[in-house]
Amino acid sequence: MLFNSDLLRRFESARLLARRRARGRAAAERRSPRGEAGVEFGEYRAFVPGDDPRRMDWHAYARNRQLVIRLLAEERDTHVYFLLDCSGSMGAGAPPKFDHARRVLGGLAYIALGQLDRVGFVPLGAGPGLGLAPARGRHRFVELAARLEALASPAGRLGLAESASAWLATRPRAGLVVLLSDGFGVGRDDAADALHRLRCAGHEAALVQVLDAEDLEPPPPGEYEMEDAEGGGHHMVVLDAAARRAFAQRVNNFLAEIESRAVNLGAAFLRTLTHEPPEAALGRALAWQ
Amino acid sequence: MTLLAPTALWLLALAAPIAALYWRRERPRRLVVSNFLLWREAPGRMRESAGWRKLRHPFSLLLQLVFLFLVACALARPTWRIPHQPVVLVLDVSASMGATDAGPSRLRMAAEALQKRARAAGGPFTLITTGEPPGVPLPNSSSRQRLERALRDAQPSHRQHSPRPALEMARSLAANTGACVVFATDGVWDEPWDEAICEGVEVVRVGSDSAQNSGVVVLAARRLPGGEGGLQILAGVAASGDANRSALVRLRANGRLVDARELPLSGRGSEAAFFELAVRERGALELEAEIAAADDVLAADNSARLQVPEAREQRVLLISPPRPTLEKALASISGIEAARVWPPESLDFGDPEALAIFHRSAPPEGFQARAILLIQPAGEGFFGRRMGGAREVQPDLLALRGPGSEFLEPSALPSFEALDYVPVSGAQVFWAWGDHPLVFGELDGTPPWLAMTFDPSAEPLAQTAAHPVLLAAFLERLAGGQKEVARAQGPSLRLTSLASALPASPPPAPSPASTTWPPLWSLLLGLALIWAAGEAWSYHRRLTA
Repeated sequence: MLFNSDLLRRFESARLLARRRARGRAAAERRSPRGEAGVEFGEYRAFVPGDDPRRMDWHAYARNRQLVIRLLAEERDTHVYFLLDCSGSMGAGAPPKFDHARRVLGGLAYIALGQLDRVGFVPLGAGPGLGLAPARGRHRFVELAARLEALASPAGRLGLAESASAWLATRPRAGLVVLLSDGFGVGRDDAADALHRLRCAGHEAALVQVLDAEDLEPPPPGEYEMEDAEGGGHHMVVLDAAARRAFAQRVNNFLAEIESRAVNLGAAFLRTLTHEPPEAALGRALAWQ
Repeated sequence: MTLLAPTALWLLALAAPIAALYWRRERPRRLVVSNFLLWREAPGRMRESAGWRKLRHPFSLLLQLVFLFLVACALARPTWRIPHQPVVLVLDVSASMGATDAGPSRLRMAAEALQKRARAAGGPFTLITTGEPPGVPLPNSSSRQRLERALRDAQPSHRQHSPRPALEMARSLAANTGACVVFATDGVWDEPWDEAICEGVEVVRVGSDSAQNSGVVVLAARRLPGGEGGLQILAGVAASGDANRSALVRLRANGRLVDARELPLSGRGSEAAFFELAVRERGALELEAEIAAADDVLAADNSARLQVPEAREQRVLLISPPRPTLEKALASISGIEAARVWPPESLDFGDPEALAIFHRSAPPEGFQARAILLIQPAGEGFFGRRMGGAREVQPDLLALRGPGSEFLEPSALPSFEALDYVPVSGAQVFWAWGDHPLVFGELDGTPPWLAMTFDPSAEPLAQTAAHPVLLAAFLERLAGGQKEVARAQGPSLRLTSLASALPASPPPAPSPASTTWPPLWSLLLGLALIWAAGEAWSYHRRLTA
C-alpha cells in the first residue's frame, strides 16, 4: 500500500508547514500572467499586433511615444500538473524508484490540494485514461491516490521530451508542471529537453529526479550480463577498477548536467534517493514556494 | 605404451571439479540496470563482442582440461618400451614389521611398495624374506599374480632378524641374472647400520621413527635366598616415541593373575618392576607378563613368557665329625638335603651335583663337587695356607661385602674367634677384620668355593639367630641361587624402541623406469605449465586494475 495512515500524517505535517510559510498571502492568491479579467492594475507590456486596442494605455503613449498594453492583475487559482515517468527504468532499485516517485508525488499533490490549487496527474507512458484532469479540493486526493495505486509496473522505453510534447498538444492551461523521473530517457538530454518544451509552452516547470543508490554506484568488479530495464536488451560488460572509476565519473557528469540545465531553464530541481523518506523530499520541495 | 605409474591417472577425476568451478567462476552475473545509456558509453574493453564471448569460455575450459590431461599423463610415466628388468625383492618379515603406524601394518606397506616396484621393473621376480636362514616364497617367476599372492601371504615373525643373510642371497642371485635388488624394510634390525649390508640394494623404507610403542623387554626370575621357595621376578618395560604415558603390567603364573602394577613410561625410556612371588605349587611354573598401554603400534612385544624349572632339593655333604649344632642348622634350611660323611676318605671322588662343606678339613685330591664351603680348613691347599694363630674379632670393625652381608648387621654380632689364613692368590676377600681375612674364596672358580676362618657353629656365634641364615646365604651363593633361573626369550629392547638402523636417507639405487622418461612429455608438461601461468595472469589482469 503506497499511502498508509502514517505517511498521510506526515503529509499533513508537511502541508501545515507549507501553510505557515505561505502565511500572509491569501489562499490561491497568485497573479495571473494573462492579465485579462482583473480590476487591479498589474503591469505594462509592449503592444504586439493582435492585442485588443482597447487595452492600449494612451497616457503612456502620450508620455513616452511607445505603444504599451495595460495588464490587469487577476486573482485566480493555479493549475499544478504532475507528470510521472512510467518507463521501465523507474521499476529498478530497491525499493523501486517508481514507488518512491509515487509517494513523493502524492505528498506534493496533498500540499497543493491543501492550498486550493487545481491538481492534475499525467502518467507518461502508462497509456490513456489513467490520468486525472485538474480539479480542486482536498477530497480529490483520495481519487489521485487510487489512480496512483492502480498504476501497473513500469515497463518499456519512453522519450520524456516526446511525451511532454504529446501532453502539451492537449493544450493544458498554463500552470506548474512537476516532472517526476529518474532522468533516463532516450538520450542524455531527454529530461532537460522535456523541461525546455514545458517552459516554452508557458508553464512553470520543476523536475524531481528520483534515483536509487544502484544508479550512482557501479557494481563490484567482474563480468556482468546487464539487462536494460527499459527493454534495451542484454549486454556483456567486463568491469574492472578503471572501468568503475570511469562509470562513476560519467554518472557525476550526467547528474551535474541535468541539474545545471534545469536551473538554466528556470525550473525548480529536486533530487531524491529511494532510501530517503518521502517527507524529507517534500521538505526540500517547499522551498519552491 | 605402458604406464609405469598408472595410479596417476586418478588425477583425471579432477576434471569434474575443474569444470564445475570454471562454470561457476566464468558465468557472468546478471544485473538489471535502469538504463544502459551510461554503460553504452563505456570504453571498448569493457564490452565484449558476442562472438568472442561465446568462444572464450569453452576454449579456456578446454585448455584447462588439456592441461590436466597432460599433467596426469606425464605423472603416469608413459613409456613406449615395455620393461623386462629382472628384480629380486627382499621383504623384511621381522617382528617389528607388524607395527601398525603405517597403514594396516609396515609389512603390508612394504609389500605394496615392492609390488609397485615390481610392476615398474617388469620381471621376472624373485621374492626373498629375511630370517636365518632366509625364506624364498617365490623363486624366479614372471607371474605378477604369484608375486602378489606371495606378498599377501607374508606374515611377520616373532623375532628380529638380521637382513644380512637374505641380502647376501639376493645379491648372489642378482649377480647371475643381472637383476636389481629391492629391499623393503623398516630398518629395525638386530645389528647396526653398515653400508656393506645394503650395498647395491635399493632400499624402500617403511614406518617412522616417531611411532609410539611400548613393550616388555625383560622378563627374568631368580629364587630368593632363605629357602622359602620364593621367586623374584623382574619385568622391564620400555617405550618408544616422545609421549609420556603409563603401562599396566600384569603378571600371571600358570595362567592365573597374581599381580598387576602401573608403571609410568617416559618417552624413549624404560622402567622395571620387581615382583616377589611365593611359589606354593610344585613343578614347573609358567610366568607371563603382559602390558596394556595407549598408542601402542606393535602387539608382538606386549607379552613375554618364561618357564621357571622346578626347584630341586640341593644335596649337601657335610664332611665333618659329628657337629650337632652345624647339622641342626643345615636341617633348618629348606630346599637342601644334608648328609654327614666322615672320614673324608670314604667320599671316593665326591658328588659333582652336591655342595660340600668341609669342617676343619680339606677336600682330598680328585674330589668333585658342585661347590665347596670350607670351615676353618686345615693346613695348606687350593684355598691358601693356615698360619696357625688365632685372634678375637670385634664385630664393630668388620668389613662385610659379598655373600651373606645383606643379612647381617655387624653390630648385632658378638665377638668371635677367627684363625689366621693367607688366601691363595686370586682369591677374593669378602669379609675382613682389618687386614685379616674372615671369608674369602672364588665364586667364579671351578668349582666355586668359599673359606671361612671362623666356625659359625662354635660359641658364641652358634647362639645367634643369624647362624643358619649365614650358612644358607653362603650355600645359596655357592649354588648359584642368586643367578637367574630363567629369562624370557623374544621381545628385545631394539624391537620395542622401533629404532631404525637405516640412515636418514639411504642412497637410492637407479630406477630402470626413470631412464624411459620420454622428453616429449616433459616438453608438453612445460607447455602446459606456461599456458596455465599465462591464463592466470590474463584473468588476474582482466579483473583487477
